[in-house]
Amino acid sequence: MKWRELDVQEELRKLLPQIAMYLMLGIILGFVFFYDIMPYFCVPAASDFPVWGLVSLLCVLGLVAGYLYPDIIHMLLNAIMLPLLGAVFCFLIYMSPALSPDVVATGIAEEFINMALLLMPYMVISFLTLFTVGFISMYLFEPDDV
Amino acid sequence: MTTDSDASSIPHPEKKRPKPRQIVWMILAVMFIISLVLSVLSAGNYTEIAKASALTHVVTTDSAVIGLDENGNPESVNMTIDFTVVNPSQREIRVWILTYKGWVRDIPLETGLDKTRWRIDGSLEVNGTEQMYYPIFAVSFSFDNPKIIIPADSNFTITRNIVLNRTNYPDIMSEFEKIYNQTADGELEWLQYTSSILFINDIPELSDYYREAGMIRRFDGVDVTPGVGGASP
Repeated sequence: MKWRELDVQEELRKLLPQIAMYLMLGIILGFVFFYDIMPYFCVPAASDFPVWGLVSLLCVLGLVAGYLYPDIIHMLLNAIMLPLLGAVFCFLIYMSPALSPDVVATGIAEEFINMALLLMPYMVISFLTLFTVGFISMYLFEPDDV
Repeated sequence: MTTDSDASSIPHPEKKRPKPRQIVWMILAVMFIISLVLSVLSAGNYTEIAKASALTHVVTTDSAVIGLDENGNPESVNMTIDFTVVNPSQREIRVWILTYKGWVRDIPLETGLDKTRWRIDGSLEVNGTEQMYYPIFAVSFSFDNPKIIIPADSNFTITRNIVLNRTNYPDIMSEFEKIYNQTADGELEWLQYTSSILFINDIPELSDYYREAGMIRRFDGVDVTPGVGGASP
């Protein structure tokens, strides 16, 4: 049994940087989504957030992820997981007033549907951008010995 | 033989340069920390705005002083209205529009004593019985210049006076006189309704889905319909 435990620990240790990368990129993406949807509630507040700004940020995040793990499995995982994690984190920021004891939270299910509808185009744009950038970065950053 | 400048150009064997991979991890970590801090601040800001939207309210109190002539007939009504804006949030609130409507209960019409009215009475059903109210005051106050800003976590009272007499609104005053004289002991029952539009201060101009996120609408009292119209300053 001992060797199996060690094996699992070793595997987890190997996966830890990838998990950390997904969490960090997901949280960054979640904040970017929230900023784009409700810029006037954010710090720093703004009246508008340009679409090219969102796409540029997605490209940078895609390049970072592609540089760190330039293979097809990670490319697909990035394109699917990051928009999902971003949406979850964005929803958490959106629901943060419900944690305040003074504000009575009503209609969470309705808010969830509203936010999901708002996030849908962002998830599609993110998937397409991350997939494209991931595909490009596979060729840009692929190791020489492969 | 080497000079000082030659020696400085030779790389130190112990000096380690960060690998490109480490640099990318560092960039990612910095972006993550900045995003996390901004997320926490944004969530706090958003919560405060939500609190301001949910908890700010306006309480209206009014008191009417009826002036009588030498015959004991009413010749003027001086209505003093106190609008108290209660702001329990940590955001400043800007008052924009306060609309006040005031009615007097029309018992002569209810009992069939006097059915001639210059304006249509508003009706209100209370416990299955219909009560009639005659519109006396209808006024809107806007506060564009000077602006009235309620500081965070505080209350502010705005007092306004409206005077109704035989000179400024003779028709309304004459109806009021009839109601007053035909009501037992002149004990009038007043009804008021306030509609207010406030703004959360320092939110950038809104657009798209949440266009009215910074706007707060509050209502106090009972709105009687139709029963519209009335005296204003």
